[in-house]
Amino acid sequence: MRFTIKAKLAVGFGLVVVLAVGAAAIGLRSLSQSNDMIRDMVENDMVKVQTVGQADAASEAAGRHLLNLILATDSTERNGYWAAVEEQMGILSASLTKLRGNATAQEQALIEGIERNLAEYARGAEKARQAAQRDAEARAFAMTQQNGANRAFQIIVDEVRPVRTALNEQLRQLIALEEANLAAKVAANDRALSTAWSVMLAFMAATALIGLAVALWVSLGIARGLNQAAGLAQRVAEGDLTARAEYRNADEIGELMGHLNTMVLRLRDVVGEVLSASSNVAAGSQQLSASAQQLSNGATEQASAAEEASSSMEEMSANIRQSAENAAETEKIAARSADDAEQSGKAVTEAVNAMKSIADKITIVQEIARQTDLLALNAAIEAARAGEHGKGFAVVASEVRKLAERSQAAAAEIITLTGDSVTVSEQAGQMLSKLVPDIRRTAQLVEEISAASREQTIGAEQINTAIQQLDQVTQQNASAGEQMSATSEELAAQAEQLQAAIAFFRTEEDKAWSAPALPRGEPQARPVASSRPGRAARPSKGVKSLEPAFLGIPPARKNGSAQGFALVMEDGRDDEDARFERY
Amino acid sequence: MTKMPDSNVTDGRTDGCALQVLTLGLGGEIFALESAQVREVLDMVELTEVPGARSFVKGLVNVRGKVVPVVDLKTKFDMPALPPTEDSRIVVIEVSRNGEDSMVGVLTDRVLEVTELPQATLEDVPRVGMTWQPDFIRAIGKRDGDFVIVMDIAAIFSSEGPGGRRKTQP
Repeated sequence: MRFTIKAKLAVGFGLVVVLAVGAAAIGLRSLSQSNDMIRDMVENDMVKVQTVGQADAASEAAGRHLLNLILATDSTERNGYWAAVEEQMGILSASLTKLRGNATAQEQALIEGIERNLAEYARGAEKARQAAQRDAEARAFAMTQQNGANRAFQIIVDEVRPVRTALNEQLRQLIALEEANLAAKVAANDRALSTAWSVMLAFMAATALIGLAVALWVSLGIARGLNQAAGLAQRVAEGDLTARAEYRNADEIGELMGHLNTMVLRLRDVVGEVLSASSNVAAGSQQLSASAQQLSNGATEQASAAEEASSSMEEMSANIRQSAENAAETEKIAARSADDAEQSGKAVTEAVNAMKSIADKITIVQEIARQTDLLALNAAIEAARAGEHGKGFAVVASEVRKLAERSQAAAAEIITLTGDSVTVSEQAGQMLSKLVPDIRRTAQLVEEISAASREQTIGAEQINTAIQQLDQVTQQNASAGEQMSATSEELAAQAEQLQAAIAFFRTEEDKAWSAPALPRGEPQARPVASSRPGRAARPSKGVKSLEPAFLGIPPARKNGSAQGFALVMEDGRDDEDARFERY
Repeated sequence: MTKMPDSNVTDGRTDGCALQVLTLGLGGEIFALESAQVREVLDMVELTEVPGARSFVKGLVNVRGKVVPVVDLKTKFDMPALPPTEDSRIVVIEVSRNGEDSMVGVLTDRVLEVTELPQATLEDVPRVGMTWQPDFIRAIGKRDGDFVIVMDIAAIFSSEGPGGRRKTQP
């Protein structure tokens, strides 16, 4: 188990608290005891003293009233004083009874003596009253005071006063006794109080000592750890990421040290990664710039190509419109052709019929020729039979027969031709009748082509619009590419600046670190610009060119550098600028 | 055309220089009849069949009021019978039988012409290798490169049936 600060504080303060509570408990107990004593004194001893005082006062009052009774002249007055005497004696008796309630043996003896004297005093007082009564009656009878008028007084002097003196003496003793008791109790109380004081003082001293020791122990440990942490933080603030804290205690400070070391390690990794990433970003943004320039050029070419395409599309649209008109014309022609073909079919049918009738007629001619032939043959036979006389006739018959045969052959040829013609014409008719629906179908198709061409015209116009929009977009792209090129160049500059800024951190011991190590304890005195030698050591043109701008930033702005640098692109020209095109 | 002697017309074989004949086609062959024996040529008409007649007699025909029997020489010559065509003709000839002349119609597939066969071209019938009975043939002539068989009508109509003798001979 680790002995952490929490545990140390808990143990120390626990000890202190326990001691304080013990002291408080002792004080409380003493207070309570003292309170009990005082209450006892007030409730018992003071009451006893008071009661004894009352008894003493009552005794004195009874004596005074008895004297007044004797001195009184009329009976009414005497009765009044007697009542007062009896009252005071009752008070006295009651006081004694009250005292007897919790009396000590010594007091009891005194009280019993007082009661005996009181009873004797009562009897004497009664006797004195009766004597006074008689004295008064005698004075009334004798009308003089000199004779026998002082018996009551005598009784008092002789009998009552000694009793009363003893009574008073006993009362005095009782008062002294009670006061002595009270004084003893006060002294005891004082002793107890002083003892409690001593104990409490001892506890408080122990508490103070322990608390002081624990506070010193804990605070010294914390201060040592915090000093180391502060030293580490200061070195990190100076940019030294190679620093490490050596603190091995297994408490919270040790944990903090471990975390701080881990943090510095991570920071070192991060800074290294940022360095490489920023160089990558710089290179990448240069490439990006070139690519953006290419993109821009390409977009410009694309825009011109889109314009060409647009004009081509317009030509195509005109062609399509022309095609649509041609198709409509063709449609009309096809419809007309269909009608013509139909009529041609009818004509062919008529021609076929005509040729058939021709064939019939020719058959008659053929028959006539045949008959003629036969006749000529018979004539030839007759001529032959006629012998020498029929010679001429035979010649004629022969000629006639030749003519007939020629007629026959011609007729046969005509019949053949007619038959062929009929066949051909019928085929032509069939073909024509087949042609008609084809032509009608052609007309329909051409109509559809016409409609399609109209739709194509609309589509071509839409395409043209789209191409024009494309052209606009491409031109926008071209300008955007140029802007991107400029932006990426800025990005490259910023990446180099980032490299310069991050070079403030030293991540390796062997790395060039020309900045003199400032004495610890005054980190605020270290200016940010003191890391310039480290940055200047890096052979970076961009950084060199940006140096004035970077240094021109007021310190107040540097705190906000986490949100970005304020770049002053106009400044920091150098010879290398001539190699780059400015956008 | 050579001069033709008018004597002995029925004989035909005159000592003149030409024999006047009517050429006609039967089957694939060309036959000839002496024109003196030919009475006239008729178009093909409907024949009235005669029951009980001999096989080569195909029927009767009316020629200007005379009943004339019609024979088919192809049956006589054992040639295959063919149905009549448009060119079929009936040649009416005069046959002297038993001393009296009678007319007989001959069915022919076609009638060619009346012509003269020069005597020099006529040859006798060779005795061997012939399809037909040499008795029925009077002579064989040539015309336009083709053989023309000149029939002996008297011999034909004096014989009994179709190839009767030839059949009974073996």
